Amino acid sequence: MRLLGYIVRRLAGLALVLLGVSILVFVLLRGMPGVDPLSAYITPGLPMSQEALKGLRGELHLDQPLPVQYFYYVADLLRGDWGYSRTAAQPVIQALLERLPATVELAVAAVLLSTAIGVPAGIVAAVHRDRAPDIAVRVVSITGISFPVFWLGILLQLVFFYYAGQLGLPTLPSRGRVDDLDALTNPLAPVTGFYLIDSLIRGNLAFFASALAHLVLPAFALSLIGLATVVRIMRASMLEVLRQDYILLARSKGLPLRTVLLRHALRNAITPVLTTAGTTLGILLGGAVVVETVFSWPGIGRLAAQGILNNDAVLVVGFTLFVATMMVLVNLAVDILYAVVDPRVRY
Amino acid sequence: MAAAIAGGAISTLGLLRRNKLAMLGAGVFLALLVVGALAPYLIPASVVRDVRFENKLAPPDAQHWFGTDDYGRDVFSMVLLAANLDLSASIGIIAAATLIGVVLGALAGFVPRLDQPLMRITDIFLSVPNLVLAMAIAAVLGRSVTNLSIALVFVWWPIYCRLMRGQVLSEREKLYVKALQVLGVDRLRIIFRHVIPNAIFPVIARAPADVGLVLITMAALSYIGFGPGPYVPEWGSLIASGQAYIFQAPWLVIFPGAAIFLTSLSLNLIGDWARDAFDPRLRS
Repeated sequence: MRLLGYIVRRLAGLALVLLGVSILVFVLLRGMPGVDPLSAYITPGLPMSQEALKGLRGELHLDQPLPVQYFYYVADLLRGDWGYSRTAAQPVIQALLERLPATVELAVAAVLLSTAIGVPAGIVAAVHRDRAPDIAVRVVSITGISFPVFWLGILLQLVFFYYAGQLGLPTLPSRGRVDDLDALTNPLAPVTGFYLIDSLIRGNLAFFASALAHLVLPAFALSLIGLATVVRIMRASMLEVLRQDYILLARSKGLPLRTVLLRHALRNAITPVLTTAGTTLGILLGGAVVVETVFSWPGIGRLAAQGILNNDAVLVVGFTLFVATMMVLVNLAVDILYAVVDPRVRY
Repeated sequence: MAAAIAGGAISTLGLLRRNKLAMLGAGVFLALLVVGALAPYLIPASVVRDVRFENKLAPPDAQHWFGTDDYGRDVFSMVLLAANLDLSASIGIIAAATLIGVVLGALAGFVPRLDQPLMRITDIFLSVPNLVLAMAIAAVLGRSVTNLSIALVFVWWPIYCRLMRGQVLSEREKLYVKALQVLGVDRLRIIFRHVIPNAIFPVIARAPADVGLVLITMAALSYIGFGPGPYVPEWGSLIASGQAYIFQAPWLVIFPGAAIFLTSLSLNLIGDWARDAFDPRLRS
């Protein structure tokens, strides 16, 4: 029951944050000095008739004062009317939801990769504090955060697609989610929209192999964004845990270091990594805009980047609100999970 | 006792090693600053303006160290010229964000009436990823480097505001502040003359790494379409325009990217040292 109360309180707090974000987004769309709100709806070089502009002005309630406009705006948002995207030639919310599975598949793969590399690296660094392995991990992670991800993405394409092909080595695909030919010869009926899951459900292994191969390079590029954070947090948290008395006890009763690290220390040290998962996901969604553009990955990030080139502010701002909503929900899920799993958390 | 001395020696060694890396970073960054500042005076503008299609996409050689681009221009000159815009923009963005954040954060920490409103505003900004929010603001303002910089300042100040507020909250309780209050010194004078100078160092310690982060973010946004166009050299947009020839002329992408990487690496080396040096928990 107390957990339920906690969830309700958290939900109320999150609703406030989202309300704030909606105000920010509304100000961006309607309240910027020197920016005509209608310009978001006009394709440059294709002027609308006065008639159409007048109709649009009425439909958006632009003739009303700003607070009244805001009320209509939020009402529209809640009804699922996020405006119309010229770029996608679709309503914004539909365009985003349709492309969401592609982005989530990529982001989840990246989170898994950065955890799989970052957690062991953080443990090794903590155990060998200030010695060669620690310094090596530190140098590698500083190098990692210094890499412009879009540059890395292009270099990966150059090496694993082009140069590997030139040398007659096996190559990794550099564009898209699946091979066009595989998609044609082994078509996949969508279930969830996640290619890897859907192809397994349908038993379509050719499709699965193609989708997995396409995921490797973009997921690796994207994982680099979160990797340094995971390593840093894991190292700090592990150092903290290793100082505790129960670790000393476990060691002095003769347990091997490996057992102490994996059975005793890791369990207690990993929670900070999990609690930052929400923030990491947010950073990854930002990175997805860039990585999806490099790899022609048909997700929401690439759509937003295309929106920028089209001056499609309705879409870009809608994308912002969408990402903020996702981050808020993921953070909530992480917090609840944390409270359920860890009995020390008081709510 | 011996163990403690050995431990101390090891950690001092570690610090020294980090210091050396930081010195290296600082040296590289200073060199880049000098290059960026001098490039516009040493390289004639005609290098950027003159299109020579007969030279186009030539690989690196003794005359063109980084090869030539699709307009037949010298990539080495373009990369050096871009250092000017990229460095001045990213340093300027962080300077502005720090200034705004420090002043508002100090006010939030010292004036209880302003605390809640300011913190709720930062909550809103911080609930959207930096790159995404900057993208939305710059998209609404219109695509240009100036608007992109404004957008990045908007996105970055809340981080400094939060940090400064935390610092000021603990500084406020110190005896000298109480003494100044009892003496009847003006509140704004206490904040700006006494509290900010005493509380600012951990906030400033973030700045070098953030300049690197903002450089990468700016280059990324200019890569996806906020760039200044083919006649203003900028690292991110050089990569964007070179990508079309990636398999034919990879130097168009490799060298501007390496410039971003080198700059950001040098800043992160300085930042890593600064974070430890100013972290009160690590001070012994």
